[in-house]
Amino acid sequence: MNYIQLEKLGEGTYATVYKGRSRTTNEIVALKEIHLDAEEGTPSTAIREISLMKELKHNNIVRLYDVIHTETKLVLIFEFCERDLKKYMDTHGDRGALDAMTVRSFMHQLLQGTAFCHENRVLHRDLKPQNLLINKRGELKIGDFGLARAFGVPVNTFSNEVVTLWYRAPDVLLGSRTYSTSIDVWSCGCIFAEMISGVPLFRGRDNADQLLHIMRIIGTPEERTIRKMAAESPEIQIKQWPRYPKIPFSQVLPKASPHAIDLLERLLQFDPAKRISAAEALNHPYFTSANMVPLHPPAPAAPQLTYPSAPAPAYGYPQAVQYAPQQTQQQQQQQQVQQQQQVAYGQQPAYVGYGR
Amino acid sequence: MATDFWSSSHHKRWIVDRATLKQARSDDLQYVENTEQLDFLNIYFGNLIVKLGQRLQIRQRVIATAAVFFRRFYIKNSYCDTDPFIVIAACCYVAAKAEEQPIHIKAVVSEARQLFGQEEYGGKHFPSDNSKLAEMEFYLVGDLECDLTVFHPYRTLTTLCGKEPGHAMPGAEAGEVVGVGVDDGPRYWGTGEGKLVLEEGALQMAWFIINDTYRSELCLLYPPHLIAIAALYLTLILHPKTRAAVQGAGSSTRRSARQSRPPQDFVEWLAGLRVSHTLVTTVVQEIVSLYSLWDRFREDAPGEGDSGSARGVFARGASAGTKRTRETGSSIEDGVVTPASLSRLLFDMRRMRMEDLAHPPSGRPLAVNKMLERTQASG
Repeated sequence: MNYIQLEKLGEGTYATVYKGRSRTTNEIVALKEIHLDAEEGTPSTAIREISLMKELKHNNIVRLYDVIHTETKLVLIFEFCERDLKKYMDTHGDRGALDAMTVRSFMHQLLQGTAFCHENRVLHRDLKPQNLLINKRGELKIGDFGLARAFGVPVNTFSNEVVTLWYRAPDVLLGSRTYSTSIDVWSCGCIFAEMISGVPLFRGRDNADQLLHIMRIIGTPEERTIRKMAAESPEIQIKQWPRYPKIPFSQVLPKASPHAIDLLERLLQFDPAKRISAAEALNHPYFTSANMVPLHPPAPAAPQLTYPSAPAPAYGYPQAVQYAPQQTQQQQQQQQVQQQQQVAYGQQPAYVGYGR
Repeated sequence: MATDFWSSSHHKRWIVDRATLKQARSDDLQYVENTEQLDFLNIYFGNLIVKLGQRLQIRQRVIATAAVFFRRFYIKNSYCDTDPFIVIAACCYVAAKAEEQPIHIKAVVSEARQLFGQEEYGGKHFPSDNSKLAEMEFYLVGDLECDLTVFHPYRTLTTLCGKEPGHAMPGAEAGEVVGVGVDDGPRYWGTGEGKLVLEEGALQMAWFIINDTYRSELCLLYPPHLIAIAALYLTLILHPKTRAAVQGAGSSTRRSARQSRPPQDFVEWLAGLRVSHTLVTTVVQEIVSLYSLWDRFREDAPGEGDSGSARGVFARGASAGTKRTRETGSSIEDGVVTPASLSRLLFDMRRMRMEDLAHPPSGRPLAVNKMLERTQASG
């Protein structure tokens, strides 16, 4: 093989990932060694991942350089990224929370990669911080296609199964099998919130519990919404849930700017039909409004967070009326709420109001 | 499925020219009498893939992908050096995985054993050991260079006709991404406007014609959108109602037809497609010659392999309209080919090849594809 195998990076259900170095160029790569089953052959997740990754070439998607087929094994040669987002947040964040600039840059890159997948009719279906890789230039790359979990040494003690659950869209939790690109959008929303606060937004133990966690924050959807969703995807099972009121995201994430809150609101819609698309999200004023520092590259390390103490001028949200004029008033209200929140922020831990 | 055609591996690496195909068959040619026999083998293998796919209850799209894998594999290998039966099984197995409709390896092995064990296929012994198929899959994926994303004409067909694949279509692409419609994003076939309005029966026929093209090497020679347009072209001629409409439009002058708001001028619509019509005509010719060859192919159990095919309609259509009416009697008698005779041919090819390898004329052993030999030997 043309690569020298270095230390092990992680182990997943169907693959082991090693760091590797090219003998010819000295380039560092990630070697994903697929375990072949003598009985079943190549795992279908691996086949799926290879067939997609061979075609998907985008700056925000981990590049598959090559596939090496030897007598007994299959090795995928991937572009190397230093760490996954989870680890990045642990090392660079303030108790996991990233600064506003970095969040915005990562979010933009995540949505770009996701939009590219969707444009090409690919659903990732397993977006989560452990599957987003960050290289040393601060570039975010979506990895692990084919629902595999090989990258990223698990940071916490929860099983991967549960981790995945936290980013699962409510329609999927309800049993929908006709889901679409909107499920990735939901995951993007969860990741967005997590980057801002440093903690996963919805941490359920199982399917039902996960739904309750979601409803405790975004509120139990109206009867009407659920019925409509059930009409659109008949597999959905309707149950009775406690009626939770909606908690404003500004209360859950006091550090977030009004634009960020508005975008989050659109990403985390209970009804998949109402969720913004990844491509639309890229045009949201959170990314496009004036007075913004360039999107890329972000600061490699977390600088001081200035936003809570000096409310908002840097984000200039009142100018962004062109996106959704009817929102302006609401945004102003949000701003007021925000300011009230900031008063409270001084006295209480940041995650008060975080539904348990 | 995924990604855009022009930047895909399908377009960049897997559309080949005739010279390449000729080169690929050069070994096989030594053991057959003429190239026509190889063309018959193409139909024979195509039929087998469809039959195995139907037994495994995989969608038409997966069957088509398996067929493309099979053709691609034999760009690099020859029939006489390999065991095409296990290759067919592996193609179906990998295609099912790649198209996200995985099937159990045991199902593939047992269905393949039953199908290939039939007398017309030489009562071939197919290995009952799963690991043999798994091993073949490994070599197959290697020779396919891991390019497992394949484009098919079906997508172009439904897009051009403004129909989302529905229940009426056998093997409709139901499992695909919902929500990203065909109208989103750039279209690789780039026409201006206007969908072709075809009635269900005609659309069905075009779909079947596309199914039939996988019995040839067309999928290696031409991009899928041209094959789809060629299938539409043939449908306009062969489907009785649309043919009547085309002829009707031709007899009245173009201008008056426009004034009276005709249903649709099919000829104008075709002409408006921004594709090379010379190429489309070539593809049409190839499909026509496939059908005339196929006409001399007799399944031992008649009609069995014909579901999802436009073959019958074509035979009727061809004899109806044109001057070159086919003599249905005598010409078929002498050139008739059956699966059993092709199985024998294949068996002889492999036997002669083995003998030649064992006793090469030069006295020096020939280079053998070791990888595949191992699979065969153990199979």
